[in-house]
Amino acid sequence: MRIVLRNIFIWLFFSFLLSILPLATSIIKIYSVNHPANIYLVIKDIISHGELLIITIASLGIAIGELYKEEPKWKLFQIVIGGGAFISFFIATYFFTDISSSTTPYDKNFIYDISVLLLLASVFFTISSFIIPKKNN
Amino acid sequence: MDSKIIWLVFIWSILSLLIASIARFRETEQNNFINSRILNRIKSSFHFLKQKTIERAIELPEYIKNVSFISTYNFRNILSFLPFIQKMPLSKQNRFVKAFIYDYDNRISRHNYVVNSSLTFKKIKRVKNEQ
Repeated sequence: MRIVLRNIFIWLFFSFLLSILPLATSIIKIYSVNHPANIYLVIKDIISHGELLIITIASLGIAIGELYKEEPKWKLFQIVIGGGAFISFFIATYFFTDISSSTTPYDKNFIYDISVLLLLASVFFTISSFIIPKKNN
Repeated sequence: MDSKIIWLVFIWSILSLLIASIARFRETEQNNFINSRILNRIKSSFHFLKQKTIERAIELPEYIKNVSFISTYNFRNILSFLPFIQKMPLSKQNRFVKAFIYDYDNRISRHNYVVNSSLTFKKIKRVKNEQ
């Protein structure tokens, strides 16, 4: 269990938080330069370009890799978690492609909502793939 | 694409986390032998096993009936029928086997099946092979 927790913390701090850092710094920079009334609008503006979806895709890639790296003790759980991770991976890829290549702009609120939801889903899927019991541990 | 699908995926991820947590918890519980629930289950299985072993001991040939020392090897063979025993680390297995042997010997002596003997497992094996 300690190894699992260590792996989760390593992923959380060195993969997830570091990948979010560029977005955080750009939010801070825009906020410090423009001094907008609401920081929420700045976050929404930055996320609306779809960068958060790239982080989601990368995170889901880690989840899928971790899930299929070793054989699990319960195959059904692997299918359930892996299936969800794959579906959210394809949804995130679809949205990112559509947002970046679309001529008509998307609704910012919609992009913000799906980005945050997919990011949270990817975090849950990644943690699940870490804690699911494997045959070797 | 409808945002309902995203919500569905989100709920799926929460359920996945729940399933994985339950699986991990069960796994940890299986490894935690101090846990009373598992211990009770083992105890009840042992009780059944003891009865079976004594029944078998009655049917055993004379040269094994006369042996007071039952080696850990024999017992591990018997215990290996239980999958959760196999999952135990060797040190834990030994602890259970020792406790089991102690109780087994007591029961056997109560049934007057034990004749003092210095035979060890190796000797039993040799007798078996000779026959």
